Amino acid sequence: MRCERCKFENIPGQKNCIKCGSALEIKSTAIDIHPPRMSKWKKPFRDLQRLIRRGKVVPQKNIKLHYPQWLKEVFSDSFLGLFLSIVPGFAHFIQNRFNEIRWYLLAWLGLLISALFLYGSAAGFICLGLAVGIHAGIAVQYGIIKDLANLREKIFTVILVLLALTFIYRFTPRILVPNLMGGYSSLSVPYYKVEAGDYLLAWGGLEQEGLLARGSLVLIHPVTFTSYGRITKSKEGVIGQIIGLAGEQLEIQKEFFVINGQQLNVDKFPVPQWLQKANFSATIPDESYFVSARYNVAAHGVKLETSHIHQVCVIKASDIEAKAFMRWWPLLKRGFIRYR
Amino acid sequence: MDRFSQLEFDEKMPERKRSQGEPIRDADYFHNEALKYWLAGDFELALRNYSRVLEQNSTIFDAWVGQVLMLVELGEYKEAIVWADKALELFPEHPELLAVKAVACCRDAKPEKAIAYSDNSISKDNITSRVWLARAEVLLNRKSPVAENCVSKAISIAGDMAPVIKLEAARLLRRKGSYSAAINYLNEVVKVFPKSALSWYELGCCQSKLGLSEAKATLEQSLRLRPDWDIAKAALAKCDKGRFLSKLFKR
Repeated sequence: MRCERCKFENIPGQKNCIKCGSALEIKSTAIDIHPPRMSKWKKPFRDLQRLIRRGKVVPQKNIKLHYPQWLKEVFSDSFLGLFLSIVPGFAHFIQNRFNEIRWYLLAWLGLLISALFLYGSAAGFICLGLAVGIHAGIAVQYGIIKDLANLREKIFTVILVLLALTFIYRFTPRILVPNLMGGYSSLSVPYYKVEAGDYLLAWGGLEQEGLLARGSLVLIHPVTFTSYGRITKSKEGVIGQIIGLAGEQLEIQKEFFVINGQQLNVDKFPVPQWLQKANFSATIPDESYFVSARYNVAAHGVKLETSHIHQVCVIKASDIEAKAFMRWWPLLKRGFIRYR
Repeated sequence: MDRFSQLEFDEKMPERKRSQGEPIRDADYFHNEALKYWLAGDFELALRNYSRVLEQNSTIFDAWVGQVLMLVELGEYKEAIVWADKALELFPEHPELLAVKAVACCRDAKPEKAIAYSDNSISKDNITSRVWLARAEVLLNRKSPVAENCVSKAISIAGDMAPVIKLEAARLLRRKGSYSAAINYLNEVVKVFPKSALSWYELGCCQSKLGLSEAKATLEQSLRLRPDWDIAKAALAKCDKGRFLSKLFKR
C-alpha cells in the first residue's frame, strides 16, 4: 500500500500511513465527499458578523505612555490616559492603536452630532448622556479601571469619571462660546411662528444700543411669588417678549397691549392668558423693559394687582441675558427669527 | 476470463459506445476540469469537479485542498473551516490543509485563529508554496512588511506550479492593494494561461485601479473568454464610468 502523500510503502491492510498518518484507502461510499454549503439567506448575516468581528475592540493591555520623568512622578499612567481621553481615542491614536477605538470614536462622534442636532429635546439630552457614557467608558477602559482592585472601587471610579465628564460637558460650551445660550419659549407668538415650549437659541452681548427693540424675544430669569408673598428669581431661563420700552405708557386692554394710546398687533404682541384679566396701566421706568412671559403667579393666591404685575413684568435692562435669534427645536421649525 | 461472463441476463445490456476522441472520465480528467474552471473564475463548477475527483478517488489530497479553497473563494468560510477539519481527519496535521484553514479564518475575520493555524502549518516539514502564500495573506492582514517575502518564497519553491501560484499571489496582492506588484505577476500568468478569464480579469482590475488605459481592453478580453461573467461585466462598467469621470475632470 503506497501512500499518496509521502510515497511510503506501507504494510497491506494498513488504514493510515505509518510515516505521515495520511489515509491510505478510503471507500467513497464510507465518506462524504460533498462539502457543506451555505444557504444564500445567511450571506448578509455572515457579512455583518464579519464586519463586527473586524471592528471589534480587542483589549490587550494598558496604554504605555511616553512622557517626561518629572510628570511620571506626579501622575500615574491612568491619570494621563484619562486626561488624554478628553478627546475619546486620542490616547490610543498617539499610540497607533486606532483600530481598537475607532468604533467607540465613531459612536461618540455620532452621538455628539445627534445631541447637537436634537439639542433642546429629550432625545437630544439622551444622546448627550450616551456620548458622556461612551466617553467615560473609553476614558476608564484603558486607564484607571484595570488598576483597581475590587468592584466597589471600579463603580465608584466610573461614577466619578462620569460626573467629571458631565461637568466638562456642561461648561466647555460656555467657555468656548460664552455668549451662546438657550431657553424654552414661554409664549406663543404667531408672528414669529414660535409656540410655547419651542427651544430657542439666544445670543448674549447685548451691550450695543438699539439691540432690544419692541417684539424682541429675550432670555430672562422670571421672578415668581412664593406662598409668603416673597419674590424669587428662577434659576432656569425662559424666553419672553419685550413689549414696552423705557418711558412708554403701557396699558393692557383685554387681549391687546396699548402703548402710548396705540393698540399693538395681537399676532405680533400677544397678551398671555394670565394678564388678560388684569387691569394694568403704568409707565415703564428708565433702563427697564416690560417683558411679557408666562410667569408662575399661582402661588401668590391673591388677585393680581398692578404692583404685582409691575414687580414681575418690568425687568431691568441688565437682567436681560440674551436675545433669541434661532428656533432650534422642534426640527421642522428650525430657522432664524427675522425681526422686522 | 471475466468472472461475470457466465451470468445470464434477460436482455443483453447494450454496450456503451465511446467515440475515439472522448477522454476517459477519471480522477485526473476531473482534476484538470476543476483547474480549468478555476482559471475561468467559475469557482462553483471547480468545486463540483473537485467533488467528482473525490468520487473517483477519495485519497487525492489536492482535491480536498481544492474543495476547501473553492469554498473560501465562494465566501463560505465557515463551511471551508468545517471541510478543512474533515480533511484534516484524513490527512492529520497536513501543512497545506492547516494553511488553507488559516486563509479561511483570516478571511472570516478571525485573525488570532488564522495566525495560530499559519504558525502550525509553517512549523511542519515539506512546506509547499500554498503554505507560504497563506502565511503571506495572514501577515498582510496584520500589515506586516514580511508578507511580501513570503510571496517571493512561495513563488520560488513553486516549481511547475509557478504560474498557478503566481496567479494566486497576484490575486492576494490585488486584494491588499499592491496593484503594481500584482500586475508584474499577472503579465507573466497571462502569457502561460492566455485563455484564463480569471487572469485577464485580475489584470484588468489592477490596471483599472492604477488608471491604466489598457484596463478596458484587458477586461474585454476576459469577457470574450467568459461572456456570461457578471463580475467582469460589472468591473468593465465601473472602468468605463471611471474613464468618463476622469475625462470630465480633465476638461
